[in-house]
Amino acid sequence: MLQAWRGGDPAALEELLLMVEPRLVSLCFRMCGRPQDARDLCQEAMVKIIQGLPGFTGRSRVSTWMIRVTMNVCLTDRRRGKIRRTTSLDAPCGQGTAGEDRTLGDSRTSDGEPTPAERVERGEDLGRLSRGLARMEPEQRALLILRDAQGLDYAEIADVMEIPVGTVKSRLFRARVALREEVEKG
Amino acid sequence: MSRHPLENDLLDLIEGRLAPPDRVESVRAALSGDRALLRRVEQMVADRRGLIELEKATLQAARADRGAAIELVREAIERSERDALIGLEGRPRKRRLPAIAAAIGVVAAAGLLAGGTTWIVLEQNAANRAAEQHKIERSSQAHMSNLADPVRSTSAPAGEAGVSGDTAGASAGEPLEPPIAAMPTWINTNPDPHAKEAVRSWAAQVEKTLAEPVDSNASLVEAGERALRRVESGGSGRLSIDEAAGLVLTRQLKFVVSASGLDWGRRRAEVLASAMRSRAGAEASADASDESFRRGELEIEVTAALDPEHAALRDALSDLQRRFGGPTGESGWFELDPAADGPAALPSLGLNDILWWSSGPSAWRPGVSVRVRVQPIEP
Repeated sequence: MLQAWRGGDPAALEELLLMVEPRLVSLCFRMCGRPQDARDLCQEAMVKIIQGLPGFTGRSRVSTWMIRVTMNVCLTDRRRGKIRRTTSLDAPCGQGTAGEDRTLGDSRTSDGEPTPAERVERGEDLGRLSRGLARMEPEQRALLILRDAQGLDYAEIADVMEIPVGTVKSRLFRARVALREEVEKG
Repeated sequence: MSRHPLENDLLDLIEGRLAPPDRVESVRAALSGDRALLRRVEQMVADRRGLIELEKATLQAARADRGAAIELVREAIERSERDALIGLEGRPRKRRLPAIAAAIGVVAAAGLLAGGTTWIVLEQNAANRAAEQHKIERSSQAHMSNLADPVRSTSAPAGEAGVSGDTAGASAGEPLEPPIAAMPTWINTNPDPHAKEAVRSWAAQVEKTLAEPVDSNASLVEAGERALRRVESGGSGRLSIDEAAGLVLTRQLKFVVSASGLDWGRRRAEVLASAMRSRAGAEASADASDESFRRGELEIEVTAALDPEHAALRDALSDLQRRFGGPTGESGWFELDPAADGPAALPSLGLNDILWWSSGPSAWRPGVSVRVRVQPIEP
């Protein structure tokens, strides 16, 4: 699709971005904790991706490069103070028709049925895990998200975070310890 | 006899990557004698599974609403097109643009010859003058902002223009900035008055931005943040990282950043230290309120876990070296020296110095601490 877009097919760009959108939205959501902020961040990242695509040389996988741009947007945004480390990933993003709190899953559906996200996150352990993750330092949180949620290997994480592979390992381990500490706080 | 497993062993165990079998046996034996540690490791395995599960659920939710995705993508495309238009219309054309373009070309060529950072020479397209003017206009703007952030062009890995979020706007056909240190020489030898004026203007912008207080200037801190992301190591330290790591228990290390022409090193050190403080947290810290910091001399405390091979410490020092490596080729350099005023005696080490992390972050203390002094040297 990238080649098609470079070859002059404008529709290929939309198709390419649609393909990665769920992954990037999820990344932004896990980083910032609020669905609307996640969408805004994702859109900002996509603008940068579009602007940067002509200079993309293919040194890394395009998906890794996009994750990197998106992570940079999330971390930069956090530094500007828009993302608070105390923001809960379970934070409501509005209210439903019955006055109940709505979360990311709610915001993406409108039929009133519980979403897969709701069903899974209802579990007490996962809820604690989610809250613990939200309380972590963003850069530590980023490592866990890249490794466990996005499934990147150490070299790819090193590429995204621009740190040596050895540093990825040591920081990742500390991040796991820190997450456990946060989860135990409840 | 079992030994306490190291971080890497435990990380591999948690992620199901522990191999070969004798390593598995060794770690298993070590854990069997420490039920608390074993339980903690099991919980971390469960945490990893939980995170994977959460991601699956979030992805399913995100994929469920195709309409929202299409809307988001189309808005992004429209925004990028709008940004491009504003870039064209938001700034009046100036008569000296061709001179600026020429200046960019000359400096870019000089940069290429000097083996400097990646340069993309401006393409001339006589058939489409309007498009060319737009390109030059955008290049000039990029130039201004890049020079306010001197390390930006090199913050992306070599060979991949615009890969970071901050540099995504730099694309093929757009020139990047000249090395700041090349300016004084170039400005004195170039006969074109318009080009001189353009370069002076950029340099003045850099000076103005850097003169503002670090703590209150978010853009400077952001510039430092980008600097921290540099991967390239451009220094010529006297000590290798291995040598420095070997000295760390007995000596202080002096990490020197020198300055040249535009007093670059001192201010750069301030910015980097500020950014480092905000980013690195427990791994490095510097006190910006300290008077010596204000003078451009600061001590950064690097903390790292102890292990027999000093692996974490070497990582920390490598990281620091990279961070301060910067575009120092012509504007300065760094040195990693043993300092004379360091403690002479080796601290005694116990098991807790190795397993400090196992009691959780609230109880963390550094396994070892290196004081790194950043000290400007005027040429």
